[in-house]
Amino acid sequence: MNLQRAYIIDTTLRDGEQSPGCAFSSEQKLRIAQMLDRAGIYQIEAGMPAMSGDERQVIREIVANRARAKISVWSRMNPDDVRLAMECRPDMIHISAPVSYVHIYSKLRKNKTWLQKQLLDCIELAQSGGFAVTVGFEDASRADITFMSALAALMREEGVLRIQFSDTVGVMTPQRTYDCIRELILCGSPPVTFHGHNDLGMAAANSMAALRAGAFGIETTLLGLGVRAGNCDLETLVLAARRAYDLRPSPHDAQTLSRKAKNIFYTH
Amino acid sequence: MIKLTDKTLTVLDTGDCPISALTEFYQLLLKAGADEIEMDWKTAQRLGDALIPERTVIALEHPVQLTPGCAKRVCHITDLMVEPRPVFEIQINDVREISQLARYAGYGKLRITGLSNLMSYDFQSVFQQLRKRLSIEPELCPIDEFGCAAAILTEWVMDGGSGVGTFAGIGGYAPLEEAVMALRLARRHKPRLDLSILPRLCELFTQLSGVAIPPHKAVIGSAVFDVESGIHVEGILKNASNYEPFSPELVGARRRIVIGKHSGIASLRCGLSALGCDVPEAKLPFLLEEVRREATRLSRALSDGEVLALAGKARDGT
Repeated sequence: MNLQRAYIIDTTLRDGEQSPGCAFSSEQKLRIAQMLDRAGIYQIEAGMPAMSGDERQVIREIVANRARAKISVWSRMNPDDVRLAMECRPDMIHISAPVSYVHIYSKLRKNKTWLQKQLLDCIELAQSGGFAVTVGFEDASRADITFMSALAALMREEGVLRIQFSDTVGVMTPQRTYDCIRELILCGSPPVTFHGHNDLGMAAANSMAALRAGAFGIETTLLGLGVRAGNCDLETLVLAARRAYDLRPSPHDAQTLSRKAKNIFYTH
Repeated sequence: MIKLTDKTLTVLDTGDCPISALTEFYQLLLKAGADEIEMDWKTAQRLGDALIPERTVIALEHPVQLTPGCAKRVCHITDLMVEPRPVFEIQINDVREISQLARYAGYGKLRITGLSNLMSYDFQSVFQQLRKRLSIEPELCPIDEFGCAAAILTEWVMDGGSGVGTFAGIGGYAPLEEAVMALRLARRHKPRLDLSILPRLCELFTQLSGVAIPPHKAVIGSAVFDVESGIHVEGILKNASNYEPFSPELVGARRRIVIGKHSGIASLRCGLSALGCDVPEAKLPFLLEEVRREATRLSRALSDGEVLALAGKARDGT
């Protein structure tokens, strides 16, 4: 039986570390990146370059030390942040674009026209440095699907490698996830990845629904680390998906990663 | 019509727990979104006058067991001679086994436990197949082997079915509080349900089961509304719904701003204000660097005392 290939993008070092009280040292970040790389994780989101000089330094070391994994960094939709991301010389720069009205109007306090122009400026800036760009649709689960579909089609025209559907506040259910991912794909989006939060205990199920809808890959964290109820747990997803999808790491390696992560996260 | 059954009391052995705690736990379960509470006959007898028979399902050891006053019963042993027949509980672990379900079509009332791998399939089609093969509407009690049971239960119930789970997913079933919240957000089901009882329900659950609720457990974890990162705190200060799926007050929780490695200026300012500490604006960037350095060194967030000590140094320029 030919299983559908799918990819894991691990964001333990970026979104996982946002979990309150979590503070990895540079040594811990390097060790976690090495573990993920050796286990066959396709892509590691190594951090947020805009956070500090120390963060940029450790990201550069992760880039230098990796064997196989692609290394991406997360950037706000802000040219200054994108420039700091470029300094880290990653394989990909992920630019996060808040797309729901609540985020556009009450977090950014801007409008859709501004959002689109700012996003295109940031993409152009990153691409001018020779970087592949992925774009995250932040708070996509509360966004207008028509607006997102049009933006996704525009992203393809702009040469964006992938877009990410982010269930930022963890309110998706599997059927809705399937429908949204399917619609984005049918509207001409670049390949779509899914980033789920576990606020309703559905991060793994929604990720499975996204894969069934044709998603390229899923964002996970070790032990489901992340804000509020956490992100999609790598081990849970790998075990749930093992009979339907061809995923790396293997269930055995995912369980080993969880065990090692416990030693790092909870042993000070 | 959406119908949820809570079988927490069937799973837990509450024989040795105080009757007052058992009664309060039962009464709060009734208020937490389930339509019916399932338990064994012994537990039902212990509840005495507190028991509400019309909202009670008795888990039978044998179909002929007598349960005076309680009409709704469920049993995993079948006996076609018994009338009224209890709900017959069968286990179907794998979706591929549903082809064998036709033999139960004539039974009348059925509960299917299992289907933990349903999310690997087109689950809406599987739901249709279940109904077609049985010609009746079964109850579904998904097993949480792959972390998908709450989602399976929610989708089944939104598709018109009845479902079964437990509080906090005890026993390896669907965590009912997750399904209740999902139905509230997705379908506005029971929008006036007062879920501020959940922290007390958690306390009683731990008392009865000896199982602590993980701090980041969806809906009921005590740390779910902690927030540290600068991006999140700034967003929440502008509008809490930017980064919260529902308000902490809805589930009897409270938001707590934590100061640590990922704090930003806005969250530091807010945290200092909550501590009644005033640091000149010009010194905040320096203080933030110190906070981040110390949190990284300690590999954790800072305590109030540690924040105040660093703030004092920053203010005094030492």
